[in-house]
Amino acid sequence: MVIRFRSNLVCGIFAVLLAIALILLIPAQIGVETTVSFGITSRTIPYGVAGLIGVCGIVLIVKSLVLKKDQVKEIVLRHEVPSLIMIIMLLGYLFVFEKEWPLSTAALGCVSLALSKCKKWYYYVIVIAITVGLYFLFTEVLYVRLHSVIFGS
Amino acid sequence: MTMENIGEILSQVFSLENILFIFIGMFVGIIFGAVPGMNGNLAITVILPFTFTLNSTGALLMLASIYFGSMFGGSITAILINTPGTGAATCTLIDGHPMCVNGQPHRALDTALVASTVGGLFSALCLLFFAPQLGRLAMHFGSPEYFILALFGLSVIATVSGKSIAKGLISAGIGVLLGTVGIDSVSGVPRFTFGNIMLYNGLKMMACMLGLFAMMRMIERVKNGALGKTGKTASELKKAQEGDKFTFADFKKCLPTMGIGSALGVLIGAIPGTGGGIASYLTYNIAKNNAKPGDKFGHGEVKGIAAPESSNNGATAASLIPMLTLGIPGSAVAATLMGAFQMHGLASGPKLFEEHTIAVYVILVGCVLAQLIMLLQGKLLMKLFVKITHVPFRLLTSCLIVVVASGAYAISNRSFDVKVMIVAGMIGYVLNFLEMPMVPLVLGLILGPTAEFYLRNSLSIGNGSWLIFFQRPICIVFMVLLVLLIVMLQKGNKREKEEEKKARDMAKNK
Repeated sequence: MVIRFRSNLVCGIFAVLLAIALILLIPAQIGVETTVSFGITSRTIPYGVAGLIGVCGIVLIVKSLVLKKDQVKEIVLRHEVPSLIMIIMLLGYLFVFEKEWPLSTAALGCVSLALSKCKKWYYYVIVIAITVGLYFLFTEVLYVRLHSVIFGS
Repeated sequence: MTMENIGEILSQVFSLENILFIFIGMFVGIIFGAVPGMNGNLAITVILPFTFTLNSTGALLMLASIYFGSMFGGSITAILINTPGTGAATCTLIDGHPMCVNGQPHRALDTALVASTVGGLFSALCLLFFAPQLGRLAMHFGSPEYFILALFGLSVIATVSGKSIAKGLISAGIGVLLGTVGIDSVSGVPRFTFGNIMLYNGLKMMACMLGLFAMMRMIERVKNGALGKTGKTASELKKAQEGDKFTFADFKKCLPTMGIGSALGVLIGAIPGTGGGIASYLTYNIAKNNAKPGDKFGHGEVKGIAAPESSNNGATAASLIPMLTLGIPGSAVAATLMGAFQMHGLASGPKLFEEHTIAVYVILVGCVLAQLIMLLQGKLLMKLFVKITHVPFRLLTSCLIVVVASGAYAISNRSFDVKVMIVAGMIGYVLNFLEMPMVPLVLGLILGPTAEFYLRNSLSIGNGSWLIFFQRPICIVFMVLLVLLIVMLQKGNKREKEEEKKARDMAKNK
């Protein structure tokens, strides 16, 4: 399956939506200070940036729809499968690396090898060796604390 | 200073022991700078306890060399794997990585090394001869000047936005917003923290950069590996490698750029709280605006590497000026070094030069020597570093994923930075689909909070009056320069479009 989209148009819509979301979000996420602010509060710059993003988005939409200056891009979904799996793996990694760093990191490296269709077994061994090497470098030399059940730290 | 003193200083600097310490420091610095997530500050902190038993000058020379080496080291990964080792090296990857991808990694690394040495030498000589004067000049910089300087840096967005300035501005806006996350340093109000206490400290710039540049690229490389797109073929590489060396013609071409970069690096580096990042983007902007026909900025232009590298290394020794002369550490590394000086019995400040004349000048002359050792060591290590480009595509991708994941953890020893890095990588992947340039985002992230902080401070000083920016001489000079830069940029864009049109017409006629 192939998805075709106009780069400027999609980017413009994304920017306008982001700007609207920001304008709605700012009052909830940024409080009002009680001290003297001389015209510029904690909200001024975020509002200004949201406005800028919105204006740029509108410019891109006008460029695409009115001035017809745009390029059609294609995404072949089948080709994106490895990246999507990699992203899911990274999301999974977020939940496990704090409990077992060496194993989860080595697994992440090996999955990336498998996803890029690597058939050489010694590449997998190299990745595992690098992970273990880094673990000991960090914990023993740099005194960076990494959790590991296997190595008991 | 008497001739006897000068003789003593030189004999100490050129002692085998001190030269060895500089060598070790430089090596450690280059390695730490080259590993994404690690930096000179971490290296100095790790090595510092081992220096207590050494002689003071040797130990401090080693620590200063680590700092200089790490600045150059940051460019190595920026060039070879499109991942800046340090924040200041983000500008180097704009032209450095395309040159490497085009099959000329030696030329790119050599350019970075030579430019770093020129910038570093100039900076060290300024530190040696003009430290007190530059220290006093830096003290004239207040919040309004800092704000205009940050604006200067932000003007680079137009240069690094690629085909669409609108997309560049959106990207920079996202960067500025990411920079606002955390407690507002002026009012103390939390911003975009979503009730998460970890976000109160803000997002670490390095974690964001690792995600936006490295992790995003790794996800893409996994896809390319699966599709069998594993880089250039052996014959293509062989053809490209024919011109893979930094020639004297390259040096001549880069010399004016390196001169401007070194001077700007020293001036900006001497101002506390600025650093090599701003200097490198400014120099890149000037170099690009003065591009000559045939210069290919953004596609592997040799001047595009020389500009940021000369200026970010130009800022290194200069950033020690306020620390040594006034006792004000202008950066995190300078603060760590100041601590190291104190631990070795040299308290920084105005009296340092009077009370420890010989020791201080040994260190200052040693800083000059360190730059030359950096050139020598860089040359020797270059062959080893270039071998990274020969590592098989798939293996390199997986190894880098492991290194980046651990590098993110090492930034400040907390798992939250790994999470930030991964989320930033995903955002980067989406933005890449939308063809949004990454460099403006990083620029916004670095300079946005600085600009906001100093703007608000300036208005507080001026009781809310914007006239404060027009009442200070340095501010006015910078504003005039900023206007000139924007005019030059417009001219440059016009010329670029005309050249493109000419090229299209010629192609049509053929």
